[in-house]
Amino acid sequence: MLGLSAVSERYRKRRDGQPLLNRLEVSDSTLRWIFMLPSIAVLAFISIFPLVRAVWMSLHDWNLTSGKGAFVGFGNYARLLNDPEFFRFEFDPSQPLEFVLSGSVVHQAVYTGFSVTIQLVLGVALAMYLFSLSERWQPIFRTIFVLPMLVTPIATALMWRLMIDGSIGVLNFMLEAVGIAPPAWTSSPVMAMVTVIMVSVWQWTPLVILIVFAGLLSIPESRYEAARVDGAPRWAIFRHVTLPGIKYMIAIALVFRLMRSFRAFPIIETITSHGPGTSTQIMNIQLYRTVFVGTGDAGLGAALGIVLIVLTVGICMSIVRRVGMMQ
Amino acid sequence: MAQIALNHVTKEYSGADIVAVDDVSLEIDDGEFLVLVGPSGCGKSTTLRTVAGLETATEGDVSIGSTRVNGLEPRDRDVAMVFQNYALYPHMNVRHNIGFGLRLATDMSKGEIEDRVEEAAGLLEITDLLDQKPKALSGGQQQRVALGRAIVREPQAFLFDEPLSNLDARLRKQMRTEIARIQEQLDVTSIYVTHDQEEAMTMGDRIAVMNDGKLQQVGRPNEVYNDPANRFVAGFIGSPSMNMLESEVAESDGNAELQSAEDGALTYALSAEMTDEYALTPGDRVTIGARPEDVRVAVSPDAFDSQSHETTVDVVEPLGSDNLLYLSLGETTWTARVPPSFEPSTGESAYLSFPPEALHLFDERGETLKSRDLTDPLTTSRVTAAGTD
Amino acid sequence: MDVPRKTDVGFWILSTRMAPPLAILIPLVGFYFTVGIGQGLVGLTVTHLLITLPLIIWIVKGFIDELPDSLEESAMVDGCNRIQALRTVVFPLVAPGVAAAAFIAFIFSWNNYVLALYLTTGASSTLPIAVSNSVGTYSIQWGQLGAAVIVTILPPIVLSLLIRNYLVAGMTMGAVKG
Repeated sequence: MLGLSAVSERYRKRRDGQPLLNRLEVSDSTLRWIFMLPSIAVLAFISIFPLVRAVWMSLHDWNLTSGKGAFVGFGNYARLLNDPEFFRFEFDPSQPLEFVLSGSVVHQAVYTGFSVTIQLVLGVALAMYLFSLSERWQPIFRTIFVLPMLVTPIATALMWRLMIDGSIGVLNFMLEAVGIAPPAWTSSPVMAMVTVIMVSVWQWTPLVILIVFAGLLSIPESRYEAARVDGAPRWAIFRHVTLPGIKYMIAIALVFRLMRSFRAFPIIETITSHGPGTSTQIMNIQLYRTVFVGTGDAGLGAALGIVLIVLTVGICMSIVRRVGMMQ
Repeated sequence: MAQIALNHVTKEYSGADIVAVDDVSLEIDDGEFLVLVGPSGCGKSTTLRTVAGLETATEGDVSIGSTRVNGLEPRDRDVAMVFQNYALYPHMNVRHNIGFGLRLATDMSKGEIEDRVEEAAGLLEITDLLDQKPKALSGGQQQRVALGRAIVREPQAFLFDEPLSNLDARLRKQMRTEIARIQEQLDVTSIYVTHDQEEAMTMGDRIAVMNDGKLQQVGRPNEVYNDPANRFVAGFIGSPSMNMLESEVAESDGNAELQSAEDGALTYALSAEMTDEYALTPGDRVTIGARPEDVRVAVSPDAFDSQSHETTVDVVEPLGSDNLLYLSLGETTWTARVPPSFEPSTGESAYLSFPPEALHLFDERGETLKSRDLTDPLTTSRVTAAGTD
Repeated sequence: MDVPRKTDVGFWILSTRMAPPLAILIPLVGFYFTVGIGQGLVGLTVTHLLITLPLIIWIVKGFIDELPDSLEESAMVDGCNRIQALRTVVFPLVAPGVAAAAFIAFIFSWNNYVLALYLTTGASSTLPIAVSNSVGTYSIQWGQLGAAVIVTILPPIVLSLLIRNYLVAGMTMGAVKG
């Protein structure tokens, strides 16, 4: 024996002097509800209540400030589909090259498709470059690569807007200095889209770099060594060691970039004001303009919101489910 | 200090439809060191966690001392547990880690706790580590702190959940002795879970072997080794494992013999006494078992006065004190432990023999019919192996 | 602790984070008008609270998942009840994660533009709105713009550098351990 007083006798004496919380004999099953209820309540308020209410609103004429009007069934959805700002496709078989394909859904697809793809490709490439750097340079470059992401989006947008400004733009000045005529950044529909995609790539490629870099760090060195011992050429090492190792990370980056591209707002609105015309108006911006600017058509906006939620959550969650992010 | 009793304890996981512990009854005496051993997933850890109160038994009772503890929270059971990954609190230094339980659950003063922590640390020779954080310690040192945290509480029982499996081989052997020493010194009832049969043999006052959630056998280490209750225990306890061969009772020239079931490469003549005693009749399927140390090997059949079988030497594994021979006989491989002086080359033929006294026999259900008979001088002195070398 | 349908609840929490804030804002604003809050900082605060909660839950969940169960179990065998084990062992260990989650949520709210654009006006404008307003269509108030931009972008950058080891985990809601 240790030669000390028997602890076991004194073991249960302490209870009374303790704070109430420690003395409470709460069963695990009660406790788990006590822990979960506040969050469940708030989450219900954020997810169930708005969703149900949004569906309800979308079935009515509804003005944002004055409230509910007549029940219109799926009228708002029908209006949305017929709204040329939402989707417009005109095609004359006699002139097959002169078709018109526009509307916020189309702009969204172009914007999301190009910006996310470019961000992923560029992000993976830069992450691999970062990974190849020596330990001395890695932290420095990592910070430089990450900085754009940390800049408040509205500040990014203003900075770019001033940089490409027709009269005072630094970028134009620099391009002219090396003998390139600066493009009309925001005045043609195609160029305006290119510009907002470019700024989005500048701001958000860093997130992809960070995520993929974390993936690269997690690949054990021995796997590269095994591939080298087996005599695999560089492309094969990339194809069979690197790529499988970062597949999960690329999927995660994809999910978060997709999610954010559906809610893009300040960059587009500040740089192009969704124009020229409505040529860079994505769904989120159409939603804002429908509901919060002008007449406040919340019924139509809610219908658009439902479509946007279904689209975003559907696409993102299907990827999440497939890559097993839940585990 | 107290005795621990498990009475028909069953643990089912309803969601997964799994019976982790199946009707286990077990009594551990006051101060006894019981080792629960079995392959991974056999329910040994779940059994231990049921005693600790971390799992709730679906059926059956657990009592510690005279108290039935089924519904009690872990903290009200007055047991101490050492976890496989040590579970040291990373944000506390060693002193606080060891004193944590005393601080929380007793009315001891700071000074008293301090004294006890020092004393426990002294016993484990970690006094100079008291102000370190767990991260700064080696695996062996962390293990000692985890032990310290258990012994300082002077609990009713120690529960060990594979505490040594994260240590390297040398340290593991050292800590094995250490834990056994401390347990003996403190005389606290202990349940020790491991998958390592060697650990079980060397540490336990008694061993309880589990498989598939069921208790297979409980007994002193030598009992379990020499007289296993069934084929599973026979194969699990002992390293290298017991040689086993499925066979069938056949009759030739009016004498019974065992014939290996798969390839017929081995026939083993049975005496009339044996067939009588174990009620063997032609057509019965039995499994032959022989411990490697009971298998004797020689280069010529003349070395044996009893029956022998020709084999080919596959591998010779020198252990220093012994050589292990892997011999192929038909499609089966036999392991034999022989003196180091006997070292045949690979590919050579050699003869093996095992006397009927050394034989284990298991019936079709795997239950033991016959265990080896240690009173016979033949099996206790196994030096005859190298007879004609 | 086993919680029934754990995965489903987690999935649900995650999906609330996926929905675009503007789409959620429409029914909420209708609600604010009904209860008389209308536009203003109260509505903005409540909206942010609702939107950042799933984010925080997921980040902190990621950190708690990383702790071995045996730590909590060990504390409970040592004499803690569930609440004490949480307070004395689990919470100190996930504190950095909670801080990271708090900072990420702070950065999100600090940077957010679109919610404030509608919900705040004039004197109640948040910084991103003020920054944006200082650039007019025809004139730029350079001094005001410079000051506003610095004040706006510095806190997120400083906080991000403070939690740089947890930044990736935070930005991906714990899906990637940096």
